[in-house]
Amino acid sequence: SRPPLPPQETVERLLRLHFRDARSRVNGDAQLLMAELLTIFARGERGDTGQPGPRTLGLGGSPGPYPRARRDPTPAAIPAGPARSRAGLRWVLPPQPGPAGQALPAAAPQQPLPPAEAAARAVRQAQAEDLERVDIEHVEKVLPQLVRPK
Amino acid sequence: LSSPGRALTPLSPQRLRAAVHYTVGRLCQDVAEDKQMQFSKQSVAAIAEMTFRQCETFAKDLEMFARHAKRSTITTEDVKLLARRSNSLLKYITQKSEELASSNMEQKEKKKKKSSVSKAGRTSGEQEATVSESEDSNMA
Repeated sequence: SRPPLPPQETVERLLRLHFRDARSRVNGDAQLLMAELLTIFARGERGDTGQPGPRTLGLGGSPGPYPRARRDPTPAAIPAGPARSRAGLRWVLPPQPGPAGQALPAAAPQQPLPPAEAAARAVRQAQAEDLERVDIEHVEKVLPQLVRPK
Repeated sequence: LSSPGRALTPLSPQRLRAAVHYTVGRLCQDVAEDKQMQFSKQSVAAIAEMTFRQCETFAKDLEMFARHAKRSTITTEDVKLLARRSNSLLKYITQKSEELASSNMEQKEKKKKKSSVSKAGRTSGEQEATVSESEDSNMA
């Protein structure tokens, strides 16, 4: 099922933190929509990673990354099936893991990278290095534009 | 629902950062379980920082879109523009936006019916009673 949405007020505060103009506001409907967008964006390609317990479907087994609204009786506009979903649904093409120590190609800079996707890439990098733990260097290798947090 | 002009108690950037960090932490936990890997605290913090910065980009883009349309209030049209980079995200957001619009229409239709009933209903005491009950519930 779809993960819970962030509260609208949190969404507006988060956005207003970065506005250049103190008068900029977000109307109620836009707050709702942004809560949806942020929730879905954060999970990226992975879709319903909020499911508890082991998943019987692998990555890409669910019908597209973006879940149908349960209460919506009409069929979702999202194409079903992993094969068809490949082309239009990726935010960024995931690069193949390189040999141990080699950095993966950077994400296309103009595309925002969902955090779940960043996490998945860092995992692939750590696994390519035969490790069981993702450390900051793996994150940095897959996101060369990332600066260490202060 | 928040209205655009209502004053918000400001939440410190630290608290908002912490909220983002918490959410990203949960996502990393899901990925970790799925892949049977662990994430160090610093690796989670790095991804959370990246995400926080992306929110900044989203906010500035939204503000720019609204400003381009000569508005200071960001609307669903601006949010849809933000979603345009991914086909399926755009479809999903457009669908949600249509659902919002149609439920808003329903609200307006209900209000119109009530006001037209109240205009016609001066001769009917029953109708007036019904109208005032509904208005009371609207004000709740």
